[in-house]
Amino acid sequence: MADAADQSSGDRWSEGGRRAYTPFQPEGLNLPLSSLRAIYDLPTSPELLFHEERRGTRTWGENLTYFAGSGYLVGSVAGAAVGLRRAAAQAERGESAKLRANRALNQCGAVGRAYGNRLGVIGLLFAGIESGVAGYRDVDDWANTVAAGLGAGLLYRSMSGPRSAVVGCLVGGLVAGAAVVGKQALDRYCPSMSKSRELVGKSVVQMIGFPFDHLSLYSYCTRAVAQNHHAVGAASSEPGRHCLHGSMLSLCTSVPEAPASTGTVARKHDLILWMP
Amino acid sequence: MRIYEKIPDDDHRLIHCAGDGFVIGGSAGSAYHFIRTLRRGGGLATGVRAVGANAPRIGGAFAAYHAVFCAFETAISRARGKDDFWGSVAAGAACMSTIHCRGGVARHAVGGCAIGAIVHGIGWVCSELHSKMMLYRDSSRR
Repeated sequence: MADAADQSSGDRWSEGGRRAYTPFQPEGLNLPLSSLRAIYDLPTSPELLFHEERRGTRTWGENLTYFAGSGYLVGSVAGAAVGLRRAAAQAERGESAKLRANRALNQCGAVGRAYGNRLGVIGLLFAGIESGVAGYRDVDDWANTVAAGLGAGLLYRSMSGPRSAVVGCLVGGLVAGAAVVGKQALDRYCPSMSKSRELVGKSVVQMIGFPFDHLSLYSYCTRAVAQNHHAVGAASSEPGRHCLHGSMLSLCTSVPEAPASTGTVARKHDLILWMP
Repeated sequence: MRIYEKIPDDDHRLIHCAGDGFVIGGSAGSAYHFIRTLRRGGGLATGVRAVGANAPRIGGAFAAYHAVFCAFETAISRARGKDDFWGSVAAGAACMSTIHCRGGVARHAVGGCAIGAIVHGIGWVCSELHSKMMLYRDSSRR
């Protein structure tokens, strides 16, 4: 689990009393007899409960499943639409509804499956190459995406001969470049749209509420916590994070999350490269 | 019973589920077809071609199953207000019934229950073992 990789094994009290939260609490009273002041070392910044939130960006495994999954889903939906059109085109007069429905289902399924599989494979190749290039370069910028587009197009068409491979490479690079440019344009010209996308998604979820009864800690929902963040003085905390309220911190042992300094380049595959 | 593995309301969960299924199905299908082609006397290139022809199909099928399963599981757990083993079993039944809705719902419902129970039962046992292993990890006396 990532908890094991995040912390150093052995003495966990050595860093000024900071410990990562873990649900596996050993029995008995664990006093850091070397420095009892560590008990009073309560964090003042928001403490995140899940390591996914601490990271902020995707690991290579999440990247892989994200692009493969979205490729497959988009391909399936697109293929279903094309199949529906094909079924509608093949319809003849005087057919029963059952026959039409059967044909529609067949075509949607067949074409949807074919498109979905192909786009899923392309998404897989893209994500793999992007994660590999990003891990190799240790820098997270647009060149990773363009290189991934080139490579995915090349590999996908490599079976059909070298000319087809080159054409595929060019197409992939163009599409990836268009995506990068489009994303930058979106961020610049309508920044509210790209930011509010996440907020809308998360606030809808919080309105529905968490169905997990053991997570009663989550009653400290993010709006209340966000206000307290300002009171405590912690800067740059996104309102969509799962945080523990300040008064709860003495009960749970958690680590204060060091707010990311704005000057550093955020590395996509940060500490633990090999963790999927 | 659940340990804090994943965020309960992570973004784009359905996409990740479909992607999980695709990757696992693609790997299994690739391995199976590659080894099968090698055993039948083909070379490396033939094996790669067989993989290219067959693995996407198997990956897509797995992806469909896993995406539908996760969708049903999320829906059932939201409706019940709990996230436990029986939700996974019910989701397995619903998943197999939906995908094989033309071949008889009742049969596939029973099969889906079995599959959901086995797969998530193994996951449950693994997480219990993991909890036991992790219990005394950070205490000073081991």
